Amino acid sequence: VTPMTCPDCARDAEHCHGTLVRLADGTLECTDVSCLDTGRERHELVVPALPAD
Amino acid sequence: MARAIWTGAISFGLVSIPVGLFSATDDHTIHFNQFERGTSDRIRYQRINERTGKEVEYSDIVKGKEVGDGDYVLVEPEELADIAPGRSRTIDIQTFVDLDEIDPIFFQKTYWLAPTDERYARPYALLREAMTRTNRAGIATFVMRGKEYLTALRADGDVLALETLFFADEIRDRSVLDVPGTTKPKGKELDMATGLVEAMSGPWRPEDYRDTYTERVEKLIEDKRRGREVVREAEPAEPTAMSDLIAALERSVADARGGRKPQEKKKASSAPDVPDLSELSKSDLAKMARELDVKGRSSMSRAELEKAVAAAAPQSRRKAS
Repeated sequence: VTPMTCPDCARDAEHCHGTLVRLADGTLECTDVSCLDTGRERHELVVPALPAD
Repeated sequence: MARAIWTGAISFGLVSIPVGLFSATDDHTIHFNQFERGTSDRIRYQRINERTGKEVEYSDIVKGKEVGDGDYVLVEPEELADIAPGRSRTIDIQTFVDLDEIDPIFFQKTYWLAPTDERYARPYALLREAMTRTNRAGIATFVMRGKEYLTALRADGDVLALETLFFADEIRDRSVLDVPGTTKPKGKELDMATGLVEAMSGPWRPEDYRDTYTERVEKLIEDKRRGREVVREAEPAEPTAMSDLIAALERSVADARGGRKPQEKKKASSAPDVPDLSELSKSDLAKMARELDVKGRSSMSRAELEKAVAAAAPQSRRKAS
């Protein structure tokens, strides 16, 4: 297995490794508690928050 | 210098200009953290493996798309980068359009582009000046973190700005609004409304406007921190009745031409701080009623509020007549 390297880390681009959670009311939260900028462009991983089954 | 959120190159004919992309705006919305009520326990998100329950590192996460019957196709970031249009590291300018031709509804967010090295300052300045001279914007697409962006590059003073745009199919059909009435306004009403627009016209000074809601949220937090009483905002003003439209327009035009904003209250000459209750909006009266602790104020009509405030107000606060 080839170890994965984050291409943005390799390029020294400003980004976040958290997952952006898009809530039903449109607000965005990040799984990374230290993330202060919930811009879509800073996040590779984005998921909608869905109600639990 | 700030760190770029993306690096690549602007492709402009046969010219390639290596650039970094920087956010041009900040969102000052207050971001709340979540807690469980009755506790001081923070709510946390964790990315866990559904089967093992163990947390998964960022570097171990790949994307998967369901293809039916619970089957997923998994893709690596490199595989997505390989098929990304516009060679993924390039902002490909495909055409130049008149900047004024772009309907503001398409504008999404503004970024700045800066050359990554002094060597590229010349072609960068060349593109900027050419777009300034022609008042044109370069329409380009590029891919950033798994999403394709339609963009307009334009000159912004000494720098190049990149506006991300909505794709045409992302703009909703305005017919969903089902706006009532198809007759075009005309006659005195339209003349008055046009006169009001002209009387209220002025230069665009963005610094004159503040996010008062965010300020109130900050105050709420500060008040709660200090244990002070929290004051609620008054109700919004009532809509103007159709029968009052001409009168309201006439008064607004007169106010605007007199150098006052329409919402400003007329002040009695003999008592500068005494408002004329008959000219106050329902929300202003509700605010006064709350200050005067008028009982049953929340269910009162505007007329009832005026009467109650007049009765409850000290003599010096009533209309000077």
